[in-house]
Amino acid sequence: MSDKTKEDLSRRSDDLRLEIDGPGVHPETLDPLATLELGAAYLKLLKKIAEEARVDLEFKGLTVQDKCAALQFTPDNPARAEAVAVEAFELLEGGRLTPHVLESVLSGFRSAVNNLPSQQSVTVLVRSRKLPVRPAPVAKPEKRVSSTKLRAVVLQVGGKNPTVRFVSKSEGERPFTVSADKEQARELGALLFELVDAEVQLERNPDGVIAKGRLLKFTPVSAEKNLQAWTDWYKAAASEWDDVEDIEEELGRNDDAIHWCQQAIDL
Amino acid sequence: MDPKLLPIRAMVDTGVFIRALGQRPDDPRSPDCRDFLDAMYSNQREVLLAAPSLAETIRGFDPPSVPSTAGIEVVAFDDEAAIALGLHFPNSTLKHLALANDVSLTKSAKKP
Repeated sequence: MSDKTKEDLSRRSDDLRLEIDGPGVHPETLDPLATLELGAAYLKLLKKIAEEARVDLEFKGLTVQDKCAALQFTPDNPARAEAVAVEAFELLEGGRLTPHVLESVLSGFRSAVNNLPSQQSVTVLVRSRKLPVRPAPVAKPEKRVSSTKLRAVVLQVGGKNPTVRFVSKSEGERPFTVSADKEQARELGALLFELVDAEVQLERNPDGVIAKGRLLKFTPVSAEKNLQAWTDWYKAAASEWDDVEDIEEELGRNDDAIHWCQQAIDL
Repeated sequence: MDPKLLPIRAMVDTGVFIRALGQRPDDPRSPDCRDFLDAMYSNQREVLLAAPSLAETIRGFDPPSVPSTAGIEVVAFDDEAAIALGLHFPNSTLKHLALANDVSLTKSAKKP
């Protein structure tokens, strides 16, 4: 292989680079343990974010570049690597809430950054982006807290401080994890891969994605195949409808709407 | 009711829902509402009831907990749901559908 080809391969624009900068930084002057731990911690962070988002992301190869110094990895899907690296950047900056499942890998990477000799800084370069890694968050996440009820499948239960992992069609199939008490965790352990109606207090990021939350209570979803439970509930909860002569008028759905429609379309 | 014509998932309005649960059995539209929900149930389809429809349905001071049964799910109607509805079913589309099917835009069931 010619030197030119080797150079082209070592600087492929689709690669992801973890650049370490600072006075006198070259591959020969790096602390090898701290540098390898930094690279490993960053890849673990990206892999965990990808796993959490249910996307496949693999890296192959490692090159140490002599531009100050940079660890270079080749992703199987550059666009996906970019998206995941941006998510990691937002988490590190502090602009997004850190989900339970990412807390340990995020703090692991932050420790690796802080273990580098002082005056050394780290920047992630991916495609055309340059994402600086700061030693501490610089922003406070804007969180949206709400309580809601979701129909969800129980995927995983466990932990010393118990957490439950759910997936719900209402949340676009992206799993989310909430804390639970031990009694709830024990009961949910018997309901793995079953549907439950879960009342949860949630903290969402500005884009609506659940970052964390707390399980308030839950009810297993029964597999009844008829309307009896609902018919019984209706009799108990809504008997006053028996006094209503015209359902649509009571609900405020009046006949004028169709004429209004007609007029609107004619206009 | 032909199972092939049933949707995988359907959100029902209050008027349809309460007729399906037995309200106004004398109304000629009520059997259709009941048949639709029964057919959705027996063919493992999903019926969604928006939380505001549940609020309209409840008439009483101490309603029991809503049943957790497969097949009917009460879903939140929040800003994201409203935006999705606006995107996929703009008012102009609804008006055309209402006129084409000779139904009121706001009325839950066709007039007898």
